[in-house]
Amino acid sequence: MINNEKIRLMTKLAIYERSEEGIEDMKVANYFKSDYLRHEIIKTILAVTFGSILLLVMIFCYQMEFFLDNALSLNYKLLGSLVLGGYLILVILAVVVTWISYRISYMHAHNRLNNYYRILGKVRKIEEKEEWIKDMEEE
Amino acid sequence: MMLIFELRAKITALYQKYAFWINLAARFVLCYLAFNRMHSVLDYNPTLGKSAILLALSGICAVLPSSLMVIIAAVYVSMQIYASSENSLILTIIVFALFLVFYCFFIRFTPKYGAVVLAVPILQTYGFPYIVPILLGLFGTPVSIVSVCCGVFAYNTLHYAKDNIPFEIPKEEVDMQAIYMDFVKDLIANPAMYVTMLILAVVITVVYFIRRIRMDFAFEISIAVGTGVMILGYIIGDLRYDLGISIAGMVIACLICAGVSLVILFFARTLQYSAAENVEFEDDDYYYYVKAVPKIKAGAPKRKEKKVIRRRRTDDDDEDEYEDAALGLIEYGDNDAGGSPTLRKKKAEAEREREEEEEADEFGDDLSIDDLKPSKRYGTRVGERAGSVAGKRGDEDNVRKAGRGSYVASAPEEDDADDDVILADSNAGWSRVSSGSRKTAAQPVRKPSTADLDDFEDDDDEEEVIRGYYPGTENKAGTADREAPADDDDEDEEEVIRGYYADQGKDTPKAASAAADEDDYL
Repeated sequence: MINNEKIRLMTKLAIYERSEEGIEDMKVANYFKSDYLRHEIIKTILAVTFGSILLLVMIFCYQMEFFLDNALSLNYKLLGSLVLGGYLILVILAVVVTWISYRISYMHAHNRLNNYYRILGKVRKIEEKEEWIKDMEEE
Repeated sequence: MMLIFELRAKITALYQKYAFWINLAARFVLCYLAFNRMHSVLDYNPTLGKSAILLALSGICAVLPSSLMVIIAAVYVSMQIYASSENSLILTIIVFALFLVFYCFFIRFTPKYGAVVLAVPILQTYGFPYIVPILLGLFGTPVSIVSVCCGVFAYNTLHYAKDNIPFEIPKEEVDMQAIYMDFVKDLIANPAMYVTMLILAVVITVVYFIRRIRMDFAFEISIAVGTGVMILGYIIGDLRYDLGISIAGMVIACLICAGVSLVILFFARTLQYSAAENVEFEDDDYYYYVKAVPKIKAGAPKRKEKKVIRRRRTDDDDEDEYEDAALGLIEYGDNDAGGSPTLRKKKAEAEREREEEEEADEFGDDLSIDDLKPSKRYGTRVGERAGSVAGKRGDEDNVRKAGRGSYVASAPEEDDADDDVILADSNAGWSRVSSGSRKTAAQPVRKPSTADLDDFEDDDDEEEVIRGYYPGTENKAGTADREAPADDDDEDEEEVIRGYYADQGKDTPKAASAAADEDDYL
């Protein structure tokens, strides 16, 4: 016999599982919080590094005349430290933003998953009850 | 107004029915409009402007995430710029590199708002970018500011890239460095772009925070305030930095955008969560194909707080009441306020004394049925006690079934010294109350409802009351197959039952049953 309560709960679970949010949360659930944050931070660092290199090339192209004119007199040590400093500042900013935003998103995903597992537990209980009733009927 | 609501209901019902296809079609149409607009603005490669290409691109973007849509759009724009002139390679590279830089730094953090990056430049070419910040403030978060700024930057990039395309310069004379520097100078030294970004960011923030305020019409007010801020911002920006806009046109466009936002808001509240879901799942026994259609709620009912202020009663009021009572208009002390503090205190004391007297009468040995009729609730409690006493004594009862779900003591026909009061219950089908295992009753019994038991704080008392009922209670509702509550002290019960039947000069049911079995056997 069909159990309406069970269908209701399972429908909720199915809707969540196939939603974008649910798919993303399931991926997040594969990680511990620290691992997840580390993973996202590494991706951010890579993206920022790639973006910084592009930006640096563009700046270099823009200022090419200046660099060619002053190639011998440039203070490369200062230039290098400026570039490195700028890059580090960008990376640190990006890492902080990533850490905060993905920490929040992990917490939200965790809450949604908690709710998901709670409903799953209810379904399991209903199934156990159904099993028990079936066994009793057989006996 | 009813017509509008009916229209909304019809649209909502239609949307519920075909939500998936409507969403897909809407995305497809928007993508087509976007690519078509890009082609009309940068019409350098006729091949890229063919309908088949545009439809194919729109179809791909309709099913891809919006952040990938930005990349595809960037590739399309770059190809158009590349096709514009044989000298425009450098511009193509720069435009694409700029999109990549923005993607790496900003757009990847806000993947949900990828479509905004496209929407801003597209709508700006139509002259209606003003709707974007209002809608983002209404339905998004301040994080979307990043996407809006990227969109404004993308618009300016395309605008200046188009302006700097070297059409009529021979290839030999083209200075790539000069083209690049002119383009970047135009793009960066452009205060209008920053002012526009600032205005849109402020509008998003203002709309977002106002619509979150707990007040009536917060959403509508936020649209109005956001529009006002936007108009003011653009006027100041235009006067100060020459944004190159027509103020009258901007004001009209802003008002139109506000109106459209109101219409969208009107529908969005019901449509936002009303899409029907078709899901499939299975368990051990069945496959389920479920279509879950959400109930449409026009909006959560607003909770109204009613403040009740009761005026403190004064002695003058007492005097007035006394005069009214003297005239026979009211009964003294019988009003809503319950009298002045002094009067209330006196009444409470009198009530307490009366209750104490009644309690003393209830539990005294000279229990009389007349004492058991003060009120429905009170009668219940008294009746239970009486039943307990009677059960312990094993006396025969005078039982009256009163009403469904309530116990009301009623007077015996004769006020005999041996006749005590036992109550019957019309409640059918109860289960155990006390702890312990369940067992089948040897004799129909009744259980007090939990409402009755609420009066007793002590569990032992509860047990006592329940035990007290079993032996002497006859149930006239014919509930022979009911279950009795668990009782650890079965022996006591048996003794009471035996005592009761001994008084009647009969065997107990068990003994009678055993004797009958024996007769049958013989």
